[in-house]
Amino acid sequence: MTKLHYSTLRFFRNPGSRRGLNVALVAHDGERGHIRALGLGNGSPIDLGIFRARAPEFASSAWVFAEWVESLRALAEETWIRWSHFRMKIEAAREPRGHFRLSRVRRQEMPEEANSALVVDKLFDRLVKNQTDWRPMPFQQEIGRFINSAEFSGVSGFLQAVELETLRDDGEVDHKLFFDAFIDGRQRLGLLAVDAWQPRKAVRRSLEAANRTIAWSIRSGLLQPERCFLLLDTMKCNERALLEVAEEQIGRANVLNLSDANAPQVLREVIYRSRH
Amino acid sequence: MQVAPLASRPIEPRYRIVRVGKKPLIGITTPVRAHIGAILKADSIESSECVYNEWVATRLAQLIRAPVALGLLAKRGGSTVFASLQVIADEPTLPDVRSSQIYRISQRYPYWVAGLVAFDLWIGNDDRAFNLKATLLGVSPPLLCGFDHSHALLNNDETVDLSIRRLKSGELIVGSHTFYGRVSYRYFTEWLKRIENISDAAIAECCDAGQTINRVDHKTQNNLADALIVRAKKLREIVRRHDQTVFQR
Repeated sequence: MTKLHYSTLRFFRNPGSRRGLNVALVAHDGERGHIRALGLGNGSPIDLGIFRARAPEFASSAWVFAEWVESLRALAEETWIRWSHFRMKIEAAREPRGHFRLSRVRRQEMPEEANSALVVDKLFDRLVKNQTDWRPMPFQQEIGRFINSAEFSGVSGFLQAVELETLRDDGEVDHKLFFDAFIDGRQRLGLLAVDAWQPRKAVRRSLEAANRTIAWSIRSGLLQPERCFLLLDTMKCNERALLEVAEEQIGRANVLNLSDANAPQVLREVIYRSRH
Repeated sequence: MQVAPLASRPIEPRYRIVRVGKKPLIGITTPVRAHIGAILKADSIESSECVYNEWVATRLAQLIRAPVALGLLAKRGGSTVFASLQVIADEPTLPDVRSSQIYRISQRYPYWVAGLVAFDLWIGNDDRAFNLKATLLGVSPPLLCGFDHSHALLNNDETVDLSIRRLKSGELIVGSHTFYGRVSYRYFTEWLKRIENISDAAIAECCDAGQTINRVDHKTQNNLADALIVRAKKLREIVRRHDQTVFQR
């Protein structure tokens, strides 16, 4: 058996955050170094499109990622280095904070006869290419982007992150409701957003709360079912039963998929219809 | 979950908006307070005049537009520190330059490399090493930027007095440099002219903080200015005597 030493380059949205996206892998098999990175092909310049798609809010900074890959390529190509040097150099380049950080050097055993380049490819696929626990954008930012795309904010009476109270006939508070976006006035409209990337329990709680809000909004006459929307990453949500409850109340078309590029159009059409 | 039939809905609901988390933006030109990334440096045993050195080096670099990171004085815990502004504000930090990339850097930025060497020779910075950031790819904006001048100026020798004397003496001081042997003579002489053409008053102004900076008093600041004025005039001769070191590989 022989050993492969490797480290992953991780991208973090905030220099202090702990949840990152693996974007590149640098490895050493004892004889030579290997570099793999998102968008890095054989001999061609790096394609930054993949990085931009995974971190769209950093699209204009993608060139910094390319510079990091270039630096790791230089390290991998420093032919005189061996395992101990590799480990030392990675440790020297590691920073506790920053948007780009190298992980601690890890080790993987492989058979003597194994093709180290193929082992690195597999490792890259597993650790970098197919990483699934990364959201393309922070939730609040994603909602903001959706609202902009739906041309929501230009509508008279538009409010974001609204807390409101429905009142009984005697003026006492009946229910407290929260909407991520709301159009006040004669043609009211409410949008509720649920972060489906949260831990499962939290998703369940959020969806239950959204269903309660929807139910009471309709029952109290605050909103008509067709003017009530639920926005979430439906592909990421495993709470099918709760989603069905929402669909029963407001219709399947009004449960919008945050990852669907056409979703803002659905909302835009409803807003447009009511204004003309 | 039960939803009441339409018939039971009140005609006009009674409600009030209690709180709005985010109002729509009106106008986009309103000035706002912001934070910019910086690395704070303080005086230490190893570099007892670090803060003053860094501050003066930044000002001198601006005089000739040498490719050096910007910075300013700041207060921290009652003492004065130097805030070296992040090389690219508001962007993720670039990786450190690797030794195997030095040749490519000198090929990509021959003019700036010559400027950095000329500047380091003037201020007696023997510690350039890898204290620089650079971009190497076509997709990136062109950038070469030096930082860390704590071991130049008043700290180029064991004491402040020795350091000032050394600057005045016409010694090379910078025995080795990351870009020695990779400097274009033609570009270097252009930078040399820039340094020679600075007025004495401008150099004196750069060194004068108008107050004591930690341990560096007004007299020391004046002495440094005198030394730098002398060194600017001697620099061509210093380089001529050591041209093999500076220009040949």
